[in-house]
Amino acid sequence: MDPIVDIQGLSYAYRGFENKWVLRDITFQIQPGEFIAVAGRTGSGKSTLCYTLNGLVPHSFGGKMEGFVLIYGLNTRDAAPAVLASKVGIVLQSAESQLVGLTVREDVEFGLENIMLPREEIRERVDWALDVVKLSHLQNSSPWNLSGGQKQRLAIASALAFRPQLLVLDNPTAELDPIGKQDVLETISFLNREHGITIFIVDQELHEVLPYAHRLLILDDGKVLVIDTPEIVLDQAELVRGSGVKLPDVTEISYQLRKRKLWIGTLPISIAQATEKFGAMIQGVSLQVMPRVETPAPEKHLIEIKNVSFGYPNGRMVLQGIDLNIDSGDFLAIMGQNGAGKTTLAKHLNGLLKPNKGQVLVEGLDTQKESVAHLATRVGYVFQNPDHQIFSKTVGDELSFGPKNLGWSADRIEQAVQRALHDIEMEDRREAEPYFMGLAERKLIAIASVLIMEPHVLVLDEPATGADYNVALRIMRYISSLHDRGLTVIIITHDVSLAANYASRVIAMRDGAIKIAGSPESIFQQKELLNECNISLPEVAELSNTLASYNLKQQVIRVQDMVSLFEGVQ
Amino acid sequence: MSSIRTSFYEGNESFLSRIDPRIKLLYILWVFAMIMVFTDPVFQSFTMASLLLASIAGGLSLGKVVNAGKLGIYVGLTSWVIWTIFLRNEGVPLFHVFGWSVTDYGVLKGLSVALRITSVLFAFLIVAMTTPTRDIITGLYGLRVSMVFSMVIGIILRLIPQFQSEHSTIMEAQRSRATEFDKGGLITRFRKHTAYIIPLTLRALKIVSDLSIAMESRAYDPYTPRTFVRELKMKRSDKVILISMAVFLVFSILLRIFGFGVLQLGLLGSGQ
Repeated sequence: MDPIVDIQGLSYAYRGFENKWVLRDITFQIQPGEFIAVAGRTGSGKSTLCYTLNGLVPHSFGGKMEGFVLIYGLNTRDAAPAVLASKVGIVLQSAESQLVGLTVREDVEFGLENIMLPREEIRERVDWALDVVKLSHLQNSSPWNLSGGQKQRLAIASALAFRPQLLVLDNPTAELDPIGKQDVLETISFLNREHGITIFIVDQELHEVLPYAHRLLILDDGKVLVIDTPEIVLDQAELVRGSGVKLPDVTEISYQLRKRKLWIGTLPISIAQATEKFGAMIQGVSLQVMPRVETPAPEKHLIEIKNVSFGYPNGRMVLQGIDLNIDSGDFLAIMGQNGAGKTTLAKHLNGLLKPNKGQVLVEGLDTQKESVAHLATRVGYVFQNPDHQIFSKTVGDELSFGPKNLGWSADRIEQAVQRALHDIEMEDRREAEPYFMGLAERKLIAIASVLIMEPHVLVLDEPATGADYNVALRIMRYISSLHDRGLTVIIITHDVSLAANYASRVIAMRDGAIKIAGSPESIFQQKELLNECNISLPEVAELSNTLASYNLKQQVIRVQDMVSLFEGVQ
Repeated sequence: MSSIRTSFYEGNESFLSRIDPRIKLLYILWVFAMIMVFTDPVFQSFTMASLLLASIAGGLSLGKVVNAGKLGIYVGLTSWVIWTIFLRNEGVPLFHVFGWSVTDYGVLKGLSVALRITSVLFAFLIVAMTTPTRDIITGLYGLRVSMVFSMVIGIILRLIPQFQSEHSTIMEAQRSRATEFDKGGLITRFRKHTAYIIPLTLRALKIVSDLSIAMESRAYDPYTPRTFVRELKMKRSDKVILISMAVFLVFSILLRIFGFGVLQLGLLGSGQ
């Protein structure tokens, strides 16, 4: 069979940076009907590789290109994106950046109008595409009012309406809640299975995408590190981890055991593959994991949220009757569906938003009566995107901005800047321009520039979203070290694994209310309630549930605990 | 999650929303022509009354329209005050403020200029609030405006609310770092404002770049013709409005030629 994609010796450098190859000597082929998953660290060239498949590279981005990309025999050098659009559909990471139409239907129609299809055919194709992604009932809605998963399905419909043979998806689930991710991945898998559409999808969450993938491609530094079946690729766990890709938890556990010579054979890539072998290891042994010691709640709370409701001027209620206490030393994870009110709740903690009803007390101060500037010394707030915050020419200037606003003396500012630079290991980069740094550095600078004001509570909105495994690990280790030094930390996150590994307390929100609250261990036992909040279980917790029939008495939610447990068996 | 608006379009079903977008775009030009023909605020008030009528026909609340055009009202009022202050030597003095004359000519001229500024802005806003962005593009194209220009207008209309949302997030991020934009001297305030101007500019570039990638991926090429799903068909009511606008404009020009509608001094009395 002729390949649908044939890439030979492809190297590429962006315009203005012709000496810096982003892709290097890439060669591989994709057969019709394949489902290829792609992973690699930030900056490894994943997005650029996607752009080469629909001709954006080199036609729109310019630059220097060597080798060739053939799509059904058509050289992308000779075919502009407008020509390739009918063969290759592309869906980008941010669903919102792709929205063109004012209604769902308009958005899908846009592309078909561009290729000058007759009106009747446009109507037919739009009906079909919306039906496939199950958005027909929302065709007259504003795309901006859809959930994250629906927006991404709309982006898929817009690409699908061209009836492409190849669908390229660049990290389409990165900004979605766990159930939204599943929703989108199932739609993509359906297109692959039922419509025979070839899929090329970049996704860092391997455990989510691998159940559907035929092959896994790992990119590193612009080169194809490995491309093969997921089982063969993940069996080279050291190689995969070294490329900044997080292994599925079951693979990581067995890999850790293999390093300790407790695992023989290939590494499993799914719970189904792992259960039997793990089960055999613990069969007949009565196992108990030591529960974490719960500290008693102090008499005086650091933050008290009393019956808080909040709605925007258009009348839409976002928070309804929230009661929550946050204590000194807490590491609280706020989770829930997209639009559940997590960020709105967090913005009440430093007075950015004031409740319509109820009261928020921060160290006894009523946020209704205090300025944000005054509360900033008590509650630091780090926004999701560091680019909303960073503006200074140098790292030193960025760090000193907050203290200057607070009117600190020059000596005090200097000492604080030096301390902050030391904390984020950037003493030698004080004069560097933050805007040209990588995502990890920019996130760390954003955190440090808030922390420098010495707040007692740090709120972080999605601290690890968009970061590869190594970057996320670096950020979370920094936050964890701050927590160990006594800082109270509150994170808003969709990442269940992150919540399980770092949080001491979790709340799950739905429709502006707190549905469940408690320790991660207790929260992750309530699968059905969590599902109502669009939260899935951590992979380890799922594994733990399946191992219950093999005598595992207590639920395990962290990789390290599971590894320790198996070590104890031997 | 804040409530996101990504268009000026209000989505109301109304008499104005059903009018052919070409007629509505011509209405903006008509308002411009009518307000420029006369310099006398009394005659200009007819055009302003048409705006009121258009708002009602569009099912728009006056509060919403005024709120959307707040900036234009500020500019208009500022212009009125400036003209009143500087045209102190022309016309009949009405009264004095700290020895400075306020003349009838200054007041009326200022008002005339203010009405010119605000009328066109409000005409645009009323049309934008009653017309989907895509219909504006289709209408412009239907009026033989080039496709590139039509799409640019459409994209600007789509991007403005998104930039407003980005602006609000950036302001919140900086306020969280104890920035109080309304405090401090001139230089301090300028320095503080760079804290949102720079990120907003860079974010704007990113948003525009992402949108252009998305549009190109969907086969958009500004220099090739395209289909429009929305078919433009002039109804009888559209034709009646078009003819009425033409008649009023011709009549107004004739009035002006015969000397009507020119700013009259003494309209506000001598004031002495």
